[in-house]
Amino acid sequence: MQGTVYKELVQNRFFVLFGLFLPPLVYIAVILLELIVRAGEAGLSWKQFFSEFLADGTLFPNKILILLIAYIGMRLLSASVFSADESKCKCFLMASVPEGTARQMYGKYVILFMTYALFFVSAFFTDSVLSYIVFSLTGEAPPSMLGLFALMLFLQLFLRSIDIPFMVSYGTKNGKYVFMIVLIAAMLAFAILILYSPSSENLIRIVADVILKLLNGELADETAFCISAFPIVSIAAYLVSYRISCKLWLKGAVNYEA
Amino acid sequence: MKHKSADVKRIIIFLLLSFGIAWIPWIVLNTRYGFSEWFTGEKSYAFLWIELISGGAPAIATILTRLITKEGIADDLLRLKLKGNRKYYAFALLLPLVIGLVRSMIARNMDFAEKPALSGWMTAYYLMQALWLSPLMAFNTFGEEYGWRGYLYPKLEAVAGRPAALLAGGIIWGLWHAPLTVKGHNFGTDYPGFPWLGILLMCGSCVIMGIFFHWLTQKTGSIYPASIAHSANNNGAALIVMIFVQAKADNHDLPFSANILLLAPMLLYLLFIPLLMKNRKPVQG
Repeated sequence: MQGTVYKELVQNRFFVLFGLFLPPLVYIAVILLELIVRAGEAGLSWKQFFSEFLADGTLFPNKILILLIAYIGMRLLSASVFSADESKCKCFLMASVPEGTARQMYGKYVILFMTYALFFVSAFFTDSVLSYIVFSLTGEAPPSMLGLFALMLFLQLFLRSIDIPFMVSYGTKNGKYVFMIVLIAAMLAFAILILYSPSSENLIRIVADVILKLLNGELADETAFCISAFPIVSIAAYLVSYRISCKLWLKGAVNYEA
Repeated sequence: MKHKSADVKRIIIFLLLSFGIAWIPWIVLNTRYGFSEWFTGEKSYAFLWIELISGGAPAIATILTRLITKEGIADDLLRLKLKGNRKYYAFALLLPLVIGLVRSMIARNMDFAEKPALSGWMTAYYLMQALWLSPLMAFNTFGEEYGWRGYLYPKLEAVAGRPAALLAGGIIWGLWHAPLTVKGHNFGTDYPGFPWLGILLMCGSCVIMGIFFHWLTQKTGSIYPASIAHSANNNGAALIVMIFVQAKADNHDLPFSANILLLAPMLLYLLFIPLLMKNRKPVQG
């Protein structure tokens, strides 16, 4: 018997592959974007290109911005892990086997975690390859993004632990609306921040500076501790979310289509 | 007999591939950039992807050996097997961290190195980090565990029995690190008997750690607890040692005598020998 993780792996193979290949595509996008921005400068060698890219500090904020978009893409696709099994018949059939509810949810939670972890490893690997290319050409290496990738992984787990129970109990369609509401609220907050920020033009640069401080270990002790405790909190939240989803799943399944 | 000769053939192919895939890039990088530049230097991040591939050489070798010898993947130990094994997962994470804590306390009390003044917040910060960093970085040690504990040890066990497998497997694992050890990995370069004593110590510590990792694999039938324990030893315990003594995580700044003494708490892993000998059932996925 192969188990529910295997079933989820086969059923969501494209999502898993997406998690694996998205980071290299994101990095190609960053470089292409910069190439377009600097297209006017004819005869620019790769060495000059990467040197300028590093010197004016656009590499780091660009990477963060495009990675954020990649993570939103991951969230939208993660709904497909749940929507694939949104059938009343399937759910009741699964619930009829011993520990069916727990096994169904276990498979989905494991596959989501696995894909996000795969995204993390792939992003770290791609970033290190880019660092090697830049180092080989310029002799300088961009700062390590490992800490940031780790933080993003746990942030994603934390966010998923909030929205999965909604998806399970209201279905992915309605669950999407919950996510949209959260997204719109976040965008509104961001817009307000930009409008009232004293240096709105450099906002992304300011955020990048805070992250750089975090990566270089220059934050205050208390702040550093809170950040280091966050991964534990997010893992605990993910486990609690699994338990809640197990309780809500069959109640939600009643509302699914046959 | 036929099975044994097939296993010996598989072991030879596996070892040739594991050593080849890892040693070639390591020797090239040592020659071209120098060990301190690519492995421990400020720019080592640019070389981490090579480290990931070469460190994963045993996993690549396992896959290739299985393909070459048409062995199949029925016993590949890749399932999580969380049910009923959560305590082993927790044990895999916590024991190396506790040993790291004991090692750092020894170092702090023996005046081997500077004792940094740490605030309560910062101590908690590092301890918390050690807790989540270990499982997170297990992707980096998974390659080794999938090859050593997931393939080599069971094959050696089938050919020569468990005690010989634990000894030979650990020695092979230690020798595999030789291109790094001869350049100062773990023990530095300034010690009597360099580099042979370092290689010998590496083999010894690998035999000892291999006992614990093999016990975890045998108990759970999964390769992940051993990967977490390996990562907890490499990342978490090293971080804990770094917190309490002012030295680099991989002990480069500690004197050789300190490194020897800091290996002592790892002898605790020898307690797993009776447990492994009592339960002689082979590793099963």
